This record gives sequence, C-alpha cells and structure tokens, in this order.
Amino acid sequence: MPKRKLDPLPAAAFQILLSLAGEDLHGYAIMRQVEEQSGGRIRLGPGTLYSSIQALLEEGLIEEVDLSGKSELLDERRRYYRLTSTGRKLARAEAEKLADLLRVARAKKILRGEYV
Amino acid sequence: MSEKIFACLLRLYPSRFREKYSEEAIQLYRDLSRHETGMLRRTGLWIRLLADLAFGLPLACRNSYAPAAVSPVPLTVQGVPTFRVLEQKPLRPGLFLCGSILTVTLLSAFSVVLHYSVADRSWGGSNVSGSPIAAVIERLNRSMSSGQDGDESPQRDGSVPDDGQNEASREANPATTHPVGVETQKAISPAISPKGMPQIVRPTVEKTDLGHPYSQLSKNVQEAMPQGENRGVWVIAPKGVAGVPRSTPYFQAVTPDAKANSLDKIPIPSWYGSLGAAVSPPRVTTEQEDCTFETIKALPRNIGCVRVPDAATAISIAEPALAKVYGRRQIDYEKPLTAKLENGVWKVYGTLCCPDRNGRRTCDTGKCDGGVAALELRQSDGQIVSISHTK
Repeated sequence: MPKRKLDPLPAAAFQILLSLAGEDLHGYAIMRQVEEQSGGRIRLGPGTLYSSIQALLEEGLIEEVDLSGKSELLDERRRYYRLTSTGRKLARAEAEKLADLLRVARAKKILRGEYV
Repeated sequence: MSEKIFACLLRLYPSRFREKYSEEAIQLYRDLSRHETGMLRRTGLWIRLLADLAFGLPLACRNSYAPAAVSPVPLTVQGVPTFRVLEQKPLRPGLFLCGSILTVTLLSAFSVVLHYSVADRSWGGSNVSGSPIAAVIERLNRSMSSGQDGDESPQRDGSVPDDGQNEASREANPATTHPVGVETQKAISPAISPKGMPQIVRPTVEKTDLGHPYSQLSKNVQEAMPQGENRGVWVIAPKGVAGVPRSTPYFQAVTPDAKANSLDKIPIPSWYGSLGAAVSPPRVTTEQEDCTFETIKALPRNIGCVRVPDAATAISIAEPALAKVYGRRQIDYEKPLTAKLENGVWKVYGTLCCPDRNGRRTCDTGKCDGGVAALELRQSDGQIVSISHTK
C-alpha cells in the first residue's frame, strides 16, 4: 500500500488547513494568514505553498472554489481554495492531538509564561 | 529583472507544477515584492525564496498532479474507521528510469554474489578434484598459506576451532566420513587454483632455501663479519631477486629474534667486499614464512625455512584438519596422535582404540579391529599432502 504524502501531516499543510478554516483564500492570502497565525514563525514560499496546496488537493482535503457567480466579490485572476469536510475533520484530529500533547506538557509542568 | 530571475527559478519545478501554478506564483512574487521594499528586506526575501526552492522542489516532485480523488479517503480520524485504497497513479518516465537502474544494479549484485559463492566451492565449477575431502584439504592449505586464523584454519598451538560436531558430514559424502576403509586424497597442487580465485602465494620448497648458517660460511666471510653478527642465518641475495635492487647483492640476518625482515631494509655491510665468491647464492624470497630454520633432509646441504620442525607442531596442524574431516569426537577417541617424519613428510596417525569387555576404552595393540585417521603434511611448508583413514 503506498504511503500517503500527508501522513503524518506536515506543519505547512496543517497551517494551510487552519488558514482555510475561516474563509476561502487564494495563495497569497493563505501565505499571509499562515504568517499571521503562526506569529511570523512560519513564512511559506511559493514552492512550498503551491506544492502543499497541490498535495492537499490530491488528498481531497481542500478544493478549488468555483468562482461563477461570485466574481464580483473575488479576484478573478486568482484561484481560491476551500476546506473540505474531510480536511476539516483531519485538521480537527490534528489539533486534538496537539491539544493532548499540550495537556501532557502542562501536567509535566514544562511550560512557562502564557502557555501555562 | 528580479521577476525574470524568479521565472527562471520556477523552471526547475516539474512541468505540470509550472502549468498549473507558474502564473499564480509569479503573481505571488509580485505581491511579495510590493510589500518587501528596501534593500535589506529584498535580500531577505530572496534568501527566503532560495530556501523555499530547496524545500519546495522535492515536495513538488512528489505530487502526481492527477485530478483530485472523487471520494477522498479520510486520513486517520479518531473514532472513525478508515479505509485505504491503492492509488492509481500514472506512471512517470522518472519511475521507469529508476526501475531500470535498480534492476540492473540488483542483477549485477546477484551475478557477482553468485560468481563468488560458486568459485569459493572447490568442488564445484573448478578444475580441481571433485572430492569433498580434497576440497577440505584445499581450504585448509589455503587458510594456512594466507596466515589467517579463521574458523577453518588449523592452529599451531593445537587449539581447535569450535566448528560443531562434524563439518565433514556437511562437506563430505557419507562414505568418506565413515572411518572404515582406505581413501587417500592427494593434495591439490597450489598451481591449480579455481578460476576467479584470488592469487594465493604459497610457500614452496624452493623458497625455503634461504641461506647458510654462520658455521657454513667460508672462513674469510666469518672473519669479515663484525663482532656480534656471527649468529643466525645469512641470506645472500643475488642480482635480480624480488625486492632487491638489481645492481647490488644484499645481505640479511635471519636470526631467531628477527625472522621476517624485508631484504631492502638491510644495508650492505661494509665488509662485503671481502666476500668474493665465497658463498654460492641461493634463491631467496622476501615472502618469508613464520618458520624455524633447520636442515631439510630433502635438501641436505641447505638450511631452510621449516614450518613443521617437530612432531608436536605436526600434530597441532593435523589434529584440527582431521577433526574437520572425520569429526571432533572420532579424533578425540583416537588420541593420542603420533607423528613421524619420512623423507620430509610428517605422517600423523591416530591410535586404534576400542571398548573392552567392561566397556572401557582400550588402546592395547592387537585388541582392536579397524583403522585410524592418517594425515601427511610436508615438513617444509606445512602443506597437507593427504588425509585418509586406514582399515
């Protein structure tokens, strides 16, 4: 059985899923959103961004938005992406896994400052 | 200009990536350039872009760029059963190339392994005798010659490698392993080595003809020698001997405490000029064996390198060799082994023993029927000549 590209989920792909959790975004907006939500720690470049987007598309975790009828609201020159229900479930599962880890870290008292 | 450079960088990505994303990527670069103004920030942007190229390129190559699955399979979600299907990815030319290289590599490796494993078996695919015992003798001699103390090598100190009960049962046919009847296998000539085997340098009688003891040197030579050098065996190497400069004869002291010197390390003694033709030059070799220097009966006028100087050494070589062929238990039962020297060949025999009326082992002469293990090895170089079992 071939190993799936997104198993385990790479950090960039997870960030993209999170960025699309609120609204449909195009590539550059995703890049900005990721930078913002990670506090500037993760800055995706075009290669990583579009490779990750392609992988997420192939896995059915995100999909391209059909712009017909919404062109007045969106920039027609760009492709917009949307989180699918599968992608949302996966993002939730991944977040819960991290939350579990965070709980363990808290219990072990290894966190400091605002993370406690 | 910088946009053109970025477009050039994009050409490194797979064509299907470029078809789909190049426009968007260039648009993204424009957006970035608009925000990243100033020399410092522009430089930082380009550093990020180059780093992104290093990380993003492998990712881009991994993607198949096939249409998204109609019914995508969920990844691991807690509490939800997951099923995975084999993805039907289109075969890419790169996969054919990788597959071809891998196949050729594996086939080459397989053929090499096959070649060496067959060549290593003396009785198979070689021009030597097909007998298993001959094969064992060949291997024993080979391991002795190469000086390696592997698990097959008989050891000079008499210790026996723990090779299990009887390796011969695996390497020899049942008839030869049974200690009844006479079967003599002549030693394989060192010159006949299986094709493809590495060249094995073996000691020969010729190479043992190393020199003369001090007492046999002519008087003028003895007088010419400085005080303190009048012991051991002197090697007089004529012109053209391997390892010796062609233009000058060389001398070398082969003393008990300096037994394996290289000829070219010994300078020409100052008293050489008085030698003249006092000493006839013997053949020498730089490949000296771990040996003792004694008179060889087969070559009575020579002092030579003798690897098997006494019966104890002969037995210590013979015992593990016999155990290889007839089994450790059998050889232990035939102890003590005895050795006698005949015409430069050590003949090692087991002792004929059997259980007496009380079931105790007895080795008294005339009380037992049967035969004993026998091994012949050359005194000069320790080569096993034959292994047999008497009736």
